[in-house]
Amino acid sequence: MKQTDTLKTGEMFAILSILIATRASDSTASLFTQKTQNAFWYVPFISLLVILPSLFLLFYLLKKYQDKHLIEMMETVLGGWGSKIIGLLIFISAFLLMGLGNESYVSQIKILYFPEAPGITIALIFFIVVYFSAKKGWKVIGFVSKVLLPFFLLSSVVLIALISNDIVVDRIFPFFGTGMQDVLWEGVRKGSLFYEVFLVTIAYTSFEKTTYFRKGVIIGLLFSITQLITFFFIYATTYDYNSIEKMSFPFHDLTQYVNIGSFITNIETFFMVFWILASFIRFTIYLYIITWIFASLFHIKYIESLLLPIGFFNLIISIIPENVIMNELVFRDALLNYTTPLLISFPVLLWIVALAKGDLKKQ
Amino acid sequence: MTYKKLMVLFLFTLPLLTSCYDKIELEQQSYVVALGIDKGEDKGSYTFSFQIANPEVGSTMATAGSSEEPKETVSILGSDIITATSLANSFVTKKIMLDHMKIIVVSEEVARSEGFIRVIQSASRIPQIRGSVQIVVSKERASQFLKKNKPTMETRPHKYFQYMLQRAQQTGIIPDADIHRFFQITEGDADLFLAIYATTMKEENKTNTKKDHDYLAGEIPKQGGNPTQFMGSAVFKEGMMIDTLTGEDTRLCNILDKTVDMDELFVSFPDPIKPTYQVGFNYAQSSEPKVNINYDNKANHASIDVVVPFELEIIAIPSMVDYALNQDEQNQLIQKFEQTIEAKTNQLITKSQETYGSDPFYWSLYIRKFFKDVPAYEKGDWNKKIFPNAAIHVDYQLKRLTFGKMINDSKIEEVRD
Amino acid sequence: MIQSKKTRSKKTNSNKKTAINPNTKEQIESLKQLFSAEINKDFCHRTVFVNFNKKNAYLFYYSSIVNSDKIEQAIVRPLLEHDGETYENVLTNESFKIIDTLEQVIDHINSGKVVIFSEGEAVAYSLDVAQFQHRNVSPSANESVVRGPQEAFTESLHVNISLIRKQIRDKQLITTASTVGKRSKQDVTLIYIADLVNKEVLQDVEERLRDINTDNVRNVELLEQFLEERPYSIFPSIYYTERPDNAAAYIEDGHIVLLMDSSSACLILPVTFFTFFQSPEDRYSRFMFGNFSRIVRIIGFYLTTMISATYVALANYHSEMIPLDLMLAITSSRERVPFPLIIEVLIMEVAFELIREAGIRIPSALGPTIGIVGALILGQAAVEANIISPIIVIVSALSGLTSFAISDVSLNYTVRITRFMFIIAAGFMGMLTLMGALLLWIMYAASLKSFGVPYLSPVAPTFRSPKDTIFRKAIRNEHFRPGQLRPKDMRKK
Repeated sequence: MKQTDTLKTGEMFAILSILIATRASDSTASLFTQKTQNAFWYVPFISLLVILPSLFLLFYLLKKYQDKHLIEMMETVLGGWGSKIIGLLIFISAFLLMGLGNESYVSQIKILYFPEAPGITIALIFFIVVYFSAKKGWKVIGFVSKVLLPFFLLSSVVLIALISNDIVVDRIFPFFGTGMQDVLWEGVRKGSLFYEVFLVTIAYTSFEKTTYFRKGVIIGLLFSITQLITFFFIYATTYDYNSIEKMSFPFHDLTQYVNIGSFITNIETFFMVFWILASFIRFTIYLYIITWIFASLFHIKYIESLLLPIGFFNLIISIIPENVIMNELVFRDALLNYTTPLLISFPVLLWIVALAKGDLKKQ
Repeated sequence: MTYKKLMVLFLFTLPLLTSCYDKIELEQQSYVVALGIDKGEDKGSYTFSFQIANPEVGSTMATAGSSEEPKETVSILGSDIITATSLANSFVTKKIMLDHMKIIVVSEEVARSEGFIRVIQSASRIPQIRGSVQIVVSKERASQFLKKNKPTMETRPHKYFQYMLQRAQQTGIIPDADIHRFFQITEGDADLFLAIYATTMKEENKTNTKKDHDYLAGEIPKQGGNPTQFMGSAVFKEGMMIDTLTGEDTRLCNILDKTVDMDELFVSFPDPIKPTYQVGFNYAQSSEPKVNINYDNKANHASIDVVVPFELEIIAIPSMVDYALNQDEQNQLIQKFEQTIEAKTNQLITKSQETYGSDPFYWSLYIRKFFKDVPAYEKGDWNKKIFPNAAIHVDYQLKRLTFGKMINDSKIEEVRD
Repeated sequence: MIQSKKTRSKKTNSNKKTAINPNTKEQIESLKQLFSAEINKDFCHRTVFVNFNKKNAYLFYYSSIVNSDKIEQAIVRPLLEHDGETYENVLTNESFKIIDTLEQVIDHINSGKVVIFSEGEAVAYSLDVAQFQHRNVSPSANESVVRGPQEAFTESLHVNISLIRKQIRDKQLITTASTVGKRSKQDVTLIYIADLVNKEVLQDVEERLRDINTDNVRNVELLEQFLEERPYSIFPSIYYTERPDNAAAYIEDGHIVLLMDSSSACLILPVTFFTFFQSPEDRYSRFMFGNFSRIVRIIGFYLTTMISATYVALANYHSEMIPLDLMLAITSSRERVPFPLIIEVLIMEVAFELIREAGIRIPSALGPTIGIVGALILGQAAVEANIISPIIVIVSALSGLTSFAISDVSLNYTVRITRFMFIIAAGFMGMLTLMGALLLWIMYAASLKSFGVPYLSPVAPTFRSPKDTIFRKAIRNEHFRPGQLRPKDMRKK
């Protein structure tokens, strides 16, 4: 029978939006404020600009080498060893970022909603849900992302509507925060904010047509950056620059602050429901993608069988860092800074090699 | 049934019997409605008072607890809120929950001390205390305030605080003073924060000297009802209380601050034509005040022009002067009103420039766009250098005048005939 | 192992091909023995002297399942009186057939036909005079509508096909039959529109029908369980309906309908989740009214699956979310209840299910009592005895009653089982585990397929469709057939 379950633009859009736009709700914002103060809200835009040329270069290469996903394409260009080294670098940094992200989410849940439960229990529940979701396969992940995305959007619209009264636009001034140079530099260093866009190119060939993939990525990227900036803007305007710096989870502070009328006052659980669903899916996608990268690096056919070990090691990594603030401000900050040059350079390297080999001229 | 099936069944029923980590039944919790903070005996220690709602009062179960008090107030010594809750469990039977807390009452003594910000700071660390909790400064000890407060209409204490503060904030006699705002302003380190001022004590001697809303809590001449009065505001500079403002001044602050919403304001002021009578107005702020700042970068000097557009509805003319149809008298009335309110505003601004050295209107927002980045802005120093020396001009502009649903009052002479 | 069984049975099946013995006397004797003619009371055999060839003819049939008038009129009299060349000329009945194996003879007798042996011939003749007893067409009992046709399928294939044909007068409407069952051969009739239906789906269905390896499949209810891909799934993958108008609507969209002789319902496949969610009345009502009832059903769906679980999660883990007034009310009523909240909820949910089950099984004369007893015990008395708190009655009554908004019987079970899973999940870690369970539930639904069609299509994955999923468009704006079926003709004109 002809395939009826194929991924299209909508699924790609949903996947990318969930991967990147949910960053608005974790502690990325507070990470940015440390160095930029109230100018952090447009930092993602700078990061995007920094990363964009490399991204387009990568897309161009993928288009040239038809029907090959990221790792396959690297293998054709760089050959066995070169591709393995770069692929491993990508895998390891993604793996660590996922572990740290996982830890950060678990601590958010713990601190805000389950103060008495041990972190490992929450991490275990997280792991179980994510593992079984990922086991259903890439297509199902795509479908579910698409089904649930409207609900996430709805909840963020509700949140924006409720907070809009407390926004004081003048708080974005002074416009350059800690100073123009600092802000620009921070934007450049955090190019890895859009790491996921590079990672999802592993799924390049899993779509009905590759145009669907490209279209989905571009719309998703536009949407995510809008969402990120909107939310960061809200944080910057509801909290003054001195307060935002002290906040570890601005999203949750926001949901705790808003209320509907005077009768239903504590509605953070309402937002938490969608936030948890989104984070479950986010880590499901993440786990699947990095397992996929690993599997294709070593030509292992059954991705599903690798999910358990990789997920499990991730669980272990996520338990190691002792406290969330340290994790966020030290490890993750450093990791994000170190991966940016990798992301910017490897498409360029690929392009140069491909150009030297003359592959690009043939087609 | 095989052994395996039994095991599965067992595993499924197990979580029902054990209590998971954060699981807690509703009846195992006590809900704190208001928290009071007083000075303890030694430095760094405080007395925390928890006002706990009694769930059995006001429920439909006829026999249950109808004779009990709707609330219980307990006080305990401690250094911060959370440890105090656990200590309080030595005589409160259930786990103390702060999620539904509506207000934090701070005694003036604590508010004026340096330690206040430390206590409040620790409150912001725990997710249980929301940003929307209102800060109330009480003239007496907070524990006394909470105990003496006996609303008769609302049996449940949280309803009382909710309605009371909501209504008082709508009329503008008390400021909007939630914790969120407190931290934004205090950490912003440029403006003054206004907290709600309240008391249950009555000042007997000052009663008849004042007019309209120019009262502080405790000064309002009244009879009957709850002894508690919410009126005016406590001024906080850098996290420490420095002064109080009357209800009228608080209103002016609310008018001039664009981040505060105010619904309606009933004011009365002397009739310009027959000064023995008062005219009653409904003042409505039609749009935000326009604050225009001209900032001179080199001299670090600012001149501030404030335009306040407003609408008036005349609700009472006991003097029977025909303001509705007589244009002259109407102009006189408007001018008088604008003059009076401008004079009062100028008085308040001068006071804040000279005495406080900072503004309670959150005007530092407007100066921000003249600075490129935060270090420059902090160097400019709004509250020490710019504001105290600024040239400020306030202009109230009437946009609309209405006369209620009646054009004219009945001719009293003809009625008396 | 299953594979080997299958092949073996196939082998025996193909081996059984016995030709009819030209020695008619012997043949008849063996046939009588085969059917135990001496003790089998309704097995009839008659001998007729045929006019046109002056030979004896032997008739065999079950008297209980044939129309005896018709035998006299259409068989016995022509044979006795008419002239002609062959049997075919004499017996002009439309179902006249010449058969040549013993197995066919047996099949035909079993399915209500008269089989005629002519002296000295190696073939037999069969005529359909079947008259199985069945109810008349009656209004639909379980899928009643206010607006729309009232008649329901009845336990007769012919009547059922006629009910469908009445609504689709299309020359391409095909009814093909295939047999299932090894011992008792039953006909399963597939109905579809030949130039719409997807050939691959059709082949798939036919193949699965062929692969059914059991003695007897008596009706479509059993057939459904033999056909479906995942027998342990909590989601139904075949739509079961007793409404011919519903069946006709799906046939027109390119679905396949299965009918059997002894069922007053049909099976429709392939289906998606939304098929079960919809009711035919949504389409019979006007755009606004239909969509309004869809909204009500969504709310019902949400409430019945989630409200008890949400209540458990909120009350046990996220009590700050409940408004203080409500919480004080709950707290005061719970102070005298001896159970944890989740046990309370489970008691009431189980009680509701018990009453429901009892209500179905109870003889109809006793019906009203169950309502009184149930309402009294569950409502008033349990609260007054402090076994449960009043709010639980509201919660469980809501979740129980709203489950009736899901009109489809199969999905109704899904929803009720889901509810219990969610309650238990919510009991673990509140919203965290509840959302985990919900996600896995959705993931599972999204991974299902019904005969190659993804379960959540056309929403995810997207297909061009009449946009009749959760809400529907105005009927005149529906231009397409459901694309997930890949019909041969996409456009509705």
